This record gives sequence, C-alpha cells and structure tokens, in this order.
Amino acid sequence: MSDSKTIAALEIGTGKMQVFIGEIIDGKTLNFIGSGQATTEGVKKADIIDVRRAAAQAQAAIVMAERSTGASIKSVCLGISGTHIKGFRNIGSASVSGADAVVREEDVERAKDDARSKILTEGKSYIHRICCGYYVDDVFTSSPLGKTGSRIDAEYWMLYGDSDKIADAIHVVQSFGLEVEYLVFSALASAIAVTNAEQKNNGVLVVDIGCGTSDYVLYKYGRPMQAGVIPIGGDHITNDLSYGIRLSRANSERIKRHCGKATITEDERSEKFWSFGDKQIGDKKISMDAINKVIRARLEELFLLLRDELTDFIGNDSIKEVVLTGGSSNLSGICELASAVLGFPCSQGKFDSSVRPNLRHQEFATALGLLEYAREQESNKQSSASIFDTFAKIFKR
Amino acid sequence: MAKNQHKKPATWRDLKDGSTTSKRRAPLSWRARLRAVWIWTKRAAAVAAVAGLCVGAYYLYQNTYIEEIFSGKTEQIKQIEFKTDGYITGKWLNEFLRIPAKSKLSDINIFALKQALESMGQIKSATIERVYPDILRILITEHKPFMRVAIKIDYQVRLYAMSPDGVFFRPVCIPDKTLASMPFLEGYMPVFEDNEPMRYKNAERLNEFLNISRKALPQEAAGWRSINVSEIDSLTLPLITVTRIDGGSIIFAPQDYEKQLDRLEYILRYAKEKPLNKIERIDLSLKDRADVKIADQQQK
Repeated sequence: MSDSKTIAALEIGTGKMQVFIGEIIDGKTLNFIGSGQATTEGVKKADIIDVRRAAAQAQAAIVMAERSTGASIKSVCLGISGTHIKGFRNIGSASVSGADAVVREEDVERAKDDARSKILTEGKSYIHRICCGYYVDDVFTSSPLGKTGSRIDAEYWMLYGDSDKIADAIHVVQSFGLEVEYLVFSALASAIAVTNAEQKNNGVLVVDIGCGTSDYVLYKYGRPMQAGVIPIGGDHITNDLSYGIRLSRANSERIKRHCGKATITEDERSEKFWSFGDKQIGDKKISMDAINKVIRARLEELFLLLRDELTDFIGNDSIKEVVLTGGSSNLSGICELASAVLGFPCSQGKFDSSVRPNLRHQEFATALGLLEYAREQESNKQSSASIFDTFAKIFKR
Repeated sequence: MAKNQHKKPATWRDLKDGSTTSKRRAPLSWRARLRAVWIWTKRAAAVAAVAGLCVGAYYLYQNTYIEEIFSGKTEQIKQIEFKTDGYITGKWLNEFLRIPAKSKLSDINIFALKQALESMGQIKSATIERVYPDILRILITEHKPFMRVAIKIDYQVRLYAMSPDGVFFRPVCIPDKTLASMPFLEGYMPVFEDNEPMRYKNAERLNEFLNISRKALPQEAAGWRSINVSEIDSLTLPLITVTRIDGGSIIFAPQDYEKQLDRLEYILRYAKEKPLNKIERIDLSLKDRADVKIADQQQK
C-alpha cells in the first residue's frame, strides 16, 4: 500500500506568490501536479507589511493551484525570506564521556543541545538551526562518531527572524484552513533545486536574486555553513533605471528585462535603442552604456555586500563556485560580473534532469526546492517512523 | 540579549502552535471565509453521514436483518418450539398465529408475531427467536389470574380474569375448574380505554388478602364466592366484604388480616362445635371484638 501525500509549496515573494503542488509517494517520489501564481500585494522587500492583502493574493494563488490540479491540499511548505532574517554562528561543546575517549552518540547529542539552546531576545524566533559540522579537539570533521578526543564541539548556523513577521507569514496560510508543515528559508530551498550533492560537498555559494531581496546560502561538506539576506533585489535595479534614464517603473522594468545587461562588450557600449520603440512623442534613444552603468553599479553593490558577509570563507578554498538563481539572475552577463567581484567561477542554477523542461526557470527555483525539501523531510519521517506511527497512519486514512 | 530571555529557545513552530493560534487562524479574506464555510459544511456532512450510518445500522439491528444476512441459507420451518409459564396451549397458539405451511424461517416477521401475541391481554410478554435453519422459538410469559370479574358491556356480560398486578384479560385456555375456584370481584366498575379495562390499583392488596386467608383457613377461603371492594378505599371505614358460598358475608378491615382470620377461625370452630343457625354475617372489622349475626329460626 503506497503512502501518498499532497503538499503545496508556497513562496511569498516580493514580486509574485508562487504555489506548486506536489504529490509525495512513499517519501521517495515527488510528482509535480500543478501550480498557481498571483501578483504580490502587501509585501515589501519580502517582508509582509499588510497581512490581509498578502493573504488575499497568496490564497488566490493557492485556489488557482488547487483548481488546476483538482487536488485538495491540507499542508503547506512555506518559503520565507525578508530583511528581518539574520544569522549567527554558535558553537556548543561537550566533553567526551567515555573512558576510552571515543566520541559516542550521546556526546554528540550533548554538544548539539548546547549549541541549539542559545536563547534569543524577545520577539525573535529561530527558523533553522543548521549543523555545519563538528570539531573533535579543534579538528574539523563532518562525522565525529568513533573519533578519539577529549572534547567535541558542534558548530551551528542559527537563522532567526522577527517573531511577528514569521507569525504573519504563518497566519497567511493558517487563516486559509491549511497547516504550515515546514517553514524553509528561501535560499535553502533554491539551493536544493539548483545544486547537486557534489557541488554542495565541494563548496558552493547559492545566491537567489529575487525582486526585493537576495538570499544566499553557502554549502560546504554537503552542509549549509552560512545563510542570510541582502536587502537588494531586481526591484532596486528597476528603480535605479527609472531614476537614471527617467522612465516610468513599468518601462524601466521592460527595458531591464529585454535590453538589460550586467556586462557589455566595447561594441555594445555604443549601441542605442528607442525607449518605447514606437518613435512617437516621448520616445527617446537610450545608450546601452547608460543602462549598463546603472545595472552594474547596483549588482556590484550586491556582490560586494555578499563578499563582506562571507569574509570567513573567502581566501581559504571554502567556496569553489557561485550559483545564481532567482528571477533577476536571468539578467544577461550577471554571472561574469559576479565572478569578477566575488572571484569565483559563477554560473546560473542548473535543474535536475527529473524536473520538467517547462519548470526549469530560475524564478521557480524556490518553489521547486520547497517541494523537494518537503519530500526529504517526509522521507526522513518514514525512515524513523515506529510501528505505532504506521498504525496511526492506517487509522488516519 | 541576556536581559529579555525566554526559558526555551523560541522556534517558528512555537508561533504556529502557540497560545495565539486561534487568532492566527482567523480568516483574512473572503476566500478564506468561503473555504472555512466549505470545510465546516464538509465536516457537518461527514458527521451526518456517520450518524446516518449509525441509525441505519441500528435499524438493521432492530429488524434483525443483520442476523439474516449473516445466518446464511434458511429453510422451511420444521418445528415451532413453544414454552409458556401459564395456561396457553400450542393448539391455541397455532390457531391464533396461523403461520402458513411451508413458510421459510426468513419469511416470518417476528416483530409482527410478537406484537400480535402481546396484544392478547393474557400474554404479558412474548419472545420470538429464529433458530437457524428451521426452528421458530416462541417463549411466552402470562399474567396469572387470581380473581374473576363479570362485566356488562353493551348488554352482554363478559368474563374477565384479573392478575395480581391488576390487569384484566379475557381468559384463554384456562380450565373452567380453575376459573370456578376464583372468587368474583364485586363493587368495582373497571374504567375502559380502547375497549379494554384499565388496571385495578388494589389488585395487589386483594391478592395479599387472599393468599393470607388461603394459608390460614384454606377450606373456608375455597368457599368464598365473591369479594366486594366497594368500601376498600373508604376514608372513614375501609372494608372488604366476602360473600360465602352459602350466602353469608364476612366483613374484613383491609389491614391486620392475621388477627381477623384468627377470630374468624375461632367463630367458625365455635359454630361447628355448638351447632347454631346459619351465620348471616361476621364483622371482623371492629377493633376489639367481632360481631356475628345468626339467622332467625324461620330462615334456617
């Protein structure tokens, strides 16, 4: 008897609300079954500022997805981002208890508990507490069990955010009669969708450049080492263009999408094109150089801020490559610019071959990653399920 | 950070499952309200469906169709097992029920049979069972008569028997000899409801009186023709008047029967030892004495 669960992935983005519905079979297979999308309202820089308007749009996207599939969803894997999300590194320690100085499961658990028990100030809540690795007598290891030493340290990356902002995101879902089963930082979800195990093991920085913010996560030894949010996104480029070339936001957005380039050649620098293209009153010639300067300046700022955030990992061979994803990563020449600023080879995210060709778009990375995250969690649940859980499931059917 | 600290590290799950959960589930849009209504409608429908199933199951159980469903093949009735604690005979039952020959056990409506039997005044309760594959079992509990009463209805006198719990019924299969041995109830006009006389409230007291009398003076009690209860509920002087087979009467107070029967026994013994004229009336209802009226010489 196969165990099937229908789950929705909801990404509350600054530009759009994206819902993907997937069916997880036996915790192993993930079938994409439908999607829904709605424009975002009440969200600024990925923070919900008007919960009612945001909820109305998110719920419209959910209804659209449900109608497209005919499936009725009960639980949601919710992607979260926003400038309120911050992270810090925390190390928990425990002495090795065995007389033979061999690290055992309970020693590891004590070190992990010590690291995880760090208490936040009022009004803050953890989103993820990610174990980055262990140190046995100050020597890094990803699997400490069986190693010999007197002390074990567990290193955690603690990702937290404002309780009110997180509660608002949860409210959007729960007010629709749905359960938030998993809450996932957007960049983590994107990284799941666009990188493979080998990349994560070697060291990869995944940057999800969205509309309002850019989320990043750094993987090394197959584990997330650091994650965070830079409050710069595609919207800032559009705004800059709007001011810089004195066009409306809508036109600036159109020009960014169709003609915008992060790096240009000497030949392209002298190119000019019409702002509207209809050569009527108000239409004017804009040089590619001007556009490039505006886009480049904003993106350079983004990558420089990112470099500052990752100072601990730059220059020590921790990062082997940078992967860009998110809607704004479609900007032409962005990878070359990122590579130049950060100093690492850079490429756009590549989706697994199991992902349908029509879904292999950078703007879907988060939603696809959320579904995959839910599948991984369901798989973990199934492997640790006891006989009682199995019976409980039978009665739940 | 140290000043305002939680006791446990707060995670997003605390926000999801926390104390303000109900507030976080409040609908924020018309779509959410519509969905909430839809969800509750579905839940109500599910509850109604479950309730319907329960009622259906109860109905099936009550009609024992379940028994039929699970009992497998049924055959023609070969035997009707009949048991009663009273006078009704198998012959009468056959005539009364008129179960068609070659009826299948499953064709018998046992509830209709039970209803028909229990509509008979003499039958207190009836249990009908199907013993698969071919036996119909009928168990009857009857009302036991201890007195009889003749009631005039539409210029016709009908004979009813009365049980100790006050039920009047037309006697069926009760031998004439048994009926003849029961005294008549006099001085009480039964109240009729749906053409049937209603229960008599003092029946139990009368039964007790008769039982005590039969125990104390069996020969004398056997010769009692009727018991008049017209004064039994009198507030000033409650009385039970027994008419003997020779026409004489004995008046009892409806209490302290043993004492009164002692006196009666003495009087009767005295009358036997010293032959007197016919005793016309014995009044035992008086507190410290008994009055005996003896017939005149001529009457003797």
